[in-house]
Amino acid sequence: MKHKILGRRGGYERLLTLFLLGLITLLLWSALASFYPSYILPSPLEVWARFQELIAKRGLLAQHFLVTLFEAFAGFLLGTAAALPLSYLLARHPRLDQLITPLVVAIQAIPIVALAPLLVIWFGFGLTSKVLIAALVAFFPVLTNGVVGLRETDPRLKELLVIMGARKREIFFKLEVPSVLPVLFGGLRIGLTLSVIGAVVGEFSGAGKGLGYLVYFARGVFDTPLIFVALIFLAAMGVGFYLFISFLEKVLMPWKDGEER
Amino acid sequence: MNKVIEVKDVTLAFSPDCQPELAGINLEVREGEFVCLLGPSGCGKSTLLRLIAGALTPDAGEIRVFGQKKIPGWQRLSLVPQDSLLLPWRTVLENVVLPLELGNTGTGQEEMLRKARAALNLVNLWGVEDKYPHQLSGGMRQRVALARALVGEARVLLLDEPFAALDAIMRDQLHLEILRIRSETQFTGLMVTHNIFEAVFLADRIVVMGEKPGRILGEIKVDLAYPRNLKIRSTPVFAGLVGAVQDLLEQGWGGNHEA
Repeated sequence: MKHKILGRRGGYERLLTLFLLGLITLLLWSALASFYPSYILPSPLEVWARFQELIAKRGLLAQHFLVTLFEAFAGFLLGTAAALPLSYLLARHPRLDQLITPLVVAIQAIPIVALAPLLVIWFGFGLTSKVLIAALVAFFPVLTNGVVGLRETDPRLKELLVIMGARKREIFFKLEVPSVLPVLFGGLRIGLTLSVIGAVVGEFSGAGKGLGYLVYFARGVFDTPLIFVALIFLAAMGVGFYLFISFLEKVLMPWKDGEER
Repeated sequence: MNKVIEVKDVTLAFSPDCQPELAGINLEVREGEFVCLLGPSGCGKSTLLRLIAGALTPDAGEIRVFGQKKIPGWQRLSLVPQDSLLLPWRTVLENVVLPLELGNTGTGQEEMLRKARAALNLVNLWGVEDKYPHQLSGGMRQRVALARALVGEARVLLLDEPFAALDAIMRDQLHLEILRIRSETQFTGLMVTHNIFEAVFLADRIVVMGEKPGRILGEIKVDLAYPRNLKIRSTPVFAGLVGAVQDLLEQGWGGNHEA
């Protein structure tokens, strides 16, 4: 269920439901907004007007959007690239796992909001610090799921492949990689979502660009409609990432299609 | 006839403190024979199969397959495991072709696929090449596992309770398939089971094992003519053989089961 917003069957009904839900939300929002001044809760129309204003300044909104998109995605890739080999090592060497895991837990326990300012001081107000912050938050779920997934490789399958005469490399590519994928994808999904949060938190801690910066800036001048515009774009980015991961899942794990989950 | 499997004085303990899993096992399987290893759960019969397949090494004694001590390779000795053990991310055809792919030295893709299709036809599976294992019934999955064991044209098949999880009717069908495939390919079989009727129906010889430690209690020769059909199970000769196996099994239970 959770992987299919628009399934093959009942796609039309689902689209209609989504549309109606959206419409109801907008109506309720409008009704609620009529009780409050714009700087507390702007109406959808005011948000739309602010959005049009931003569009008029050509490329400005797109630039902020792309900056955050880049920070989150690059951070996700970096975090994943670091987590995958480490998860393999930890899954293979339990003693290393015993040594490293407490450290990992300790670092993970530090709220990223508290860590972000430090990374900004160290790596500056530019993209680098944000990418690193996003990478750091994406790192942990990928690592954890990678280790769990590799440990779940069926030892009986491994033995069977050995009897078949498989080489180590073949066991890795033909058994371990495919068996880790389903669990790993759970981690990737969480990691990618967290990387958006990481990028935004990074921008809060000091930046001149990005959707998080827009929110930070708008708060200072009580430009609440602008905050809403930024939030909607962040949500859109989240949905985009979600669909991206779902697409990757379908391509890389065709056997999962239609399997009971 | 040539001995294809020789097990000499094999002992194996998983840990030094507890009783050995297997103690002083001697077993020979000759070319073309179908032998059943029969015993209660936990008597180490599956472990013995894993030893012969080369997945485990004995603590003492030696195992030779085709006169050699090294792992024979799927093209000579293959295995039908319990629960089929198919790779869930591979289609039926891809699963069957897997043993040919591994450690492959120059066989073309087309040739491998041709062999895999021939193996699927041999086990009477049609039109499921592109299905994934989770889309098949238990009986069909077991047929795929059988095709995978046959694909390299191995002369020896090890079967580890391959039909234990199937319902009785499905099991009967697969028993007949095994007999048919044996008559077509003349493979040598060593099958582990805890089902006496299955053993008598399929085997030329039944080796009965006891537990704690896993050991061989004795063997019964099954002189039923081929081709065998399901009806022979209701003949007095069949019943006599079942009784003889039962007597041998009970020796392994010791005194406290008599009361």
